[in-house]
Amino acid sequence: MLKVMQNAYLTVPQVAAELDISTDGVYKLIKRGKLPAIRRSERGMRVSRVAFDSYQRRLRHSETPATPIPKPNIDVDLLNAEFERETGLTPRTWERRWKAKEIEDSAENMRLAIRALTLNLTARHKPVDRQSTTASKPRETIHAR
Amino acid sequence: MTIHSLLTNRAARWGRVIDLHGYLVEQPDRAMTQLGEFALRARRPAPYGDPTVLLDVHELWLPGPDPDGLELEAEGCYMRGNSWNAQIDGEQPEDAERLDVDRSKPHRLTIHRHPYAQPNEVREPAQHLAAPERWLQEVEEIVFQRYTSMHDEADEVD
Repeated sequence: MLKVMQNAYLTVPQVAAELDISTDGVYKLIKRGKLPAIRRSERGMRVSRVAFDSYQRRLRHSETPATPIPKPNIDVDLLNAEFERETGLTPRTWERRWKAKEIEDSAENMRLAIRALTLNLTARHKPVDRQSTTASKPRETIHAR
Repeated sequence: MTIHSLLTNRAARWGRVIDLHGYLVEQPDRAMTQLGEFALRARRPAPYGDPTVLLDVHELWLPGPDPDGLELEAEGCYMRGNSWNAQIDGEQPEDAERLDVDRSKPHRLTIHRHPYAQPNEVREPAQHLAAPERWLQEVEEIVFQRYTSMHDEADEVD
């Protein structure tokens, strides 16, 4: 008997059904690099639900959302506030002014620009309908090598 | 191009890759302290019972062509060294898939990986993985294998 994976990975037909497109359409998304997939065999591919959620967020972001997007479980607002406290500018303003070369080109400012870029990226793709992202206890990286 | 714009573009490239796979950015595990350094931390959420992953990316870029012919170049700069670490559902060194650029190592091992589930000392040549997109895909394949081994998935085709 076939067993459906416990929602962590989707088959191509499952993705097609969720997006209401054909399986050929899903293969095109994968081929174009819009949707990452794991190839299990010649006929078997899987798409992680986490990556699929992210794809759906990008889709929503490119459209006008009909309903407000729920707040993320990670505290982006707190990180943004911390950035603003340190610099006097929001990450979005920092990114805009950095690109417009209105901010001095220094190593420290460049690091802040990278931080602002990543914060803005996270804010643009807020996760939705997630169970707690801290369900698994965060672990520290091992730097033993 | 300046090293600053290189690093800005590098952040954008890593940002695209981790977003593609659904990872969420966090504050880096340590502060960037020198010019040309890039650091990124991101976490793969695990709301569906799949393994959690913590990525720590550190890179050091310097101006000029790659002196060792490794083709780790972009915008007139080269990657002096890196450490890309993916800690997959565990705390030990063998729970990590890691790719390093260490120019003190012999040529065939300058770009090497410490493979997941192998002892710390194991190093394999890994030139083919020296791109964020390719490496994170490799990490995702390990995550998938680990997930299927935990959940005893029956074979199923599309």
